[in-house]
Amino acid sequence: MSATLIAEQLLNGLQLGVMLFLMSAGLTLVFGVMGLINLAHGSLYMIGAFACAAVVGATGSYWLGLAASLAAAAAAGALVEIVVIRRLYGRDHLDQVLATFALILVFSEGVRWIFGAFPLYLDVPESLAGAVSLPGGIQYPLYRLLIIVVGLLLAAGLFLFISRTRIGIRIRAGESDREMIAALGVDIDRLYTLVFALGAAMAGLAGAMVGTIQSVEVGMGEPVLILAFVVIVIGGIGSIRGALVGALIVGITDTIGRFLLPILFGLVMDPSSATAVGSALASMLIYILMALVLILKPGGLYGRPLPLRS
Amino acid sequence: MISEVRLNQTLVLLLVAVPLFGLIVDQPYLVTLATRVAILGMAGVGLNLALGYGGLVSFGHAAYFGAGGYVAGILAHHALNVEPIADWPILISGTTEMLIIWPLAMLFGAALAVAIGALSLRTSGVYFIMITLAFAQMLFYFAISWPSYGGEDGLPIYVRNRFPGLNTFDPLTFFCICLALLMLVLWVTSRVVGSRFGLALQAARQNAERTTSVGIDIFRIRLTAFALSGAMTALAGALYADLNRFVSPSMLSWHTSGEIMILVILGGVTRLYGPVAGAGCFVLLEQFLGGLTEHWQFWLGLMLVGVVLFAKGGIVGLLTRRPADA
Amino acid sequence: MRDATGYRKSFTPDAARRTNGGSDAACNAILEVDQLTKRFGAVVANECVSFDLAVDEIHALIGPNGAGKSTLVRQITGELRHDAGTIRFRGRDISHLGAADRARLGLARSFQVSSLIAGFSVLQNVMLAILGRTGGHYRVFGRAMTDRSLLEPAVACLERVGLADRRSLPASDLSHGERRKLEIAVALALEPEAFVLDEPMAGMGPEGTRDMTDFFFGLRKAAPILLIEHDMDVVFKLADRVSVLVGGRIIASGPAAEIRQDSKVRAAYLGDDTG
Repeated sequence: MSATLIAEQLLNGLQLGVMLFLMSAGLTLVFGVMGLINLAHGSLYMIGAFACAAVVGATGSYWLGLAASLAAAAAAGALVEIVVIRRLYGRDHLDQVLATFALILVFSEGVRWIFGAFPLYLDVPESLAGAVSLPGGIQYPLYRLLIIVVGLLLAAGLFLFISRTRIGIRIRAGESDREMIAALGVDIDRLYTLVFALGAAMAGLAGAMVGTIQSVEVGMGEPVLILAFVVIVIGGIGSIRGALVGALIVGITDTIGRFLLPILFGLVMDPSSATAVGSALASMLIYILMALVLILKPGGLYGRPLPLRS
Repeated sequence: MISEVRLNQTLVLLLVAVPLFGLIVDQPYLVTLATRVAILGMAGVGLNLALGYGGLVSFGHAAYFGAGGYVAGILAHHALNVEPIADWPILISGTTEMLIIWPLAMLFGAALAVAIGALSLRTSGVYFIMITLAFAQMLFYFAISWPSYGGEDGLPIYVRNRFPGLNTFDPLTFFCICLALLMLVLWVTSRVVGSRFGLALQAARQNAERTTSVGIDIFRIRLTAFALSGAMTALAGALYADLNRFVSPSMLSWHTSGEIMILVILGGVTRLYGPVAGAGCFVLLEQFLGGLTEHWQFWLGLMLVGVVLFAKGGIVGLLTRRPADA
Repeated sequence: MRDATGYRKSFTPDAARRTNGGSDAACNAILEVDQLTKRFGAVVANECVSFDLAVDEIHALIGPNGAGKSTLVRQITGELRHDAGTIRFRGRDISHLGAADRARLGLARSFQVSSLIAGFSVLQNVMLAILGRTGGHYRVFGRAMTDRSLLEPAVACLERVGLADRRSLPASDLSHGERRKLEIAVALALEPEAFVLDEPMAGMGPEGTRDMTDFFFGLRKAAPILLIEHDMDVVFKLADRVSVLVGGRIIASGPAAEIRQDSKVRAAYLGDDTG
């Protein structure tokens, strides 16, 4: 086990982290601004990946594919918001959970209907294939490095958007006072559709980029969605900053845990049971982390404190 | 419109009539379907105690369903292979006796619910939903990556577990066992809901601040309800494993959590027999739509969206026009 | 009354002499708040607030909006944790106890905005309070609604506030004044050692206010009252002592008649046209 191997795993963790951020940002925005829990967010991730695969298949251009993933996910998001989600804002969380769970069934089965049950594969475009040499003699795939850069750029852009632009300020105002913002003459319905579509587009892009290095298949969004929930619980619901910190913590912990734990157990056990115990424990690691955060800070790292438990 | 008591009686009658009819017209799969309804209904009744009466929207009840299933599966697995589960500090061997498996499954389900509940009940609302989901998912991944009991492939149970004096292989006998347990669980739930504990639990759901101010520790009340709920769902899980003679991580997956939740909401929350009606509808839809099209889940999803948006109160609410329990 | 171990003994009004001046209140005090401080970030909500509630008195806490009254009440009842200072109730430090434990010790509160269990019937609302007081809420068998040990005391409390004939209505169907009465019935059902009544007259008409004033006057025989109230007529009719909270601090405290004449209070709060 060398330092470069660990550095490589750290980069992989970072890459998972920024992808998780793209997923969590939309979820946490939608919750923070509209008070809605959206289980179907993973479907938007899947739609982005399938749109990319379909367009790359038809045109051969990866860049058109990425653009299509953004457009398709945003369009699907806006459509669902207008047709279904909008009616759920005032409802209790139980209704929101059930309706968005039902939407998952619709999206998953719909995509299976159109594309069939077999996974699709996307190739990394030639210009991005290969590895780059990083300081310290690390060879790292260019495409993965690019994912990290794009993710971090998007995170920075989102922070600027929320804190500096007029729309961003309206979003933050809507979060604190719905009536006030409506009284100022802002079209709150359009604002909500926009926020929802924005979150969807980020999820769709993440789906396309991750789909390129893994595979594009029905149900690919669900594990990511649950990881995003863990991220949000750790970071604090409604906080973009919390989503970023939480995503990086979860991404790195998960990746490093899967890499290191079997090795660590190998020091005290025979190899096959070390792999078994290590990988079983690694699969639980981020949930244990979440439990710890809940014990120490029930509102999440950057969340508002919860009312005193009585 | 019919009264809710009459509707409940009709439901139970239907549940008994369908397998009998199946035997008469020589369609034995109807017995299996009715057994599925009874078992899923029981899981739903368990969830309803937490979700409906307690207002605790758990999206992780697959954890208890699957835990019950694995208790049944693992005990039977060890009994058949004649290898003890543990030989130190005391000898624990497997068993195929339902009368031992059921209490163990319920105990395990309750213990798991206490552990998960103690953490997740520190929060509320959306946090609670996400955290219960996440912990159930943790068990799902654990079951997949732990190779001793089949890992991702699941664990077959080569014999049906035994009940003294009964031939459990006979589908109708097994159905009767499940039905009797369902009725027992329904009776227990009705007693619990109407008890002092039930009063406190429902008060805590409607107004936590007020309930606390009269001196009731709502955290412990909720935790107790969560444990009871977990135990009932785990019992259903043990029966489900026995019905399929197979346990797999899919019993722990969040789709299972979602399905149990659908049963409850489809039937109508805080209605005692709601989950049974919901399970009946769910199994019927699965059969009916599944026979029409391969993509039945698409239509099921659309229907559910419609139910949520336009039919509050579920099936029982629709048929009785009675608002749900306070 | 309950002794220190939590068991009740019968209440003897004569045992506790009224203390109007407040000079020897400390030895008779059931509730003592000492140097209580609460901050929300940079905002100081309460600073070094000290006062006490003597046995058999009505102590009114008045102050303009935003003076920190609600924050103070929430700290006393245990819904909010204070940053510094101590709260003693019946001689023991309750600072570390949660709201439910304080209620079980005998500290009953009514809510400013009526906080009933809307889906429960009038009777069930009171039965819940009996249940909270008598315990046994982990009993999962036996029907609560036919349990005479819950039912009879609950009906008795409803009779005291004149709501017995409305017992089977859902609480949400009551009029505003009736809801206020039900709040009081719930507080009575707790057989408390002390009442904390948070603006019990809020939203009542003049006639209802007169009724309730008389009712509270009689209620003090059951237990001392910490009264948070806006209506000055009510305060000066009922209170033995008045403390004035302005800007998170107590600026004056003493017998009602003195406070009425206090120039500091008149300047800061009552205005010169009052009293």
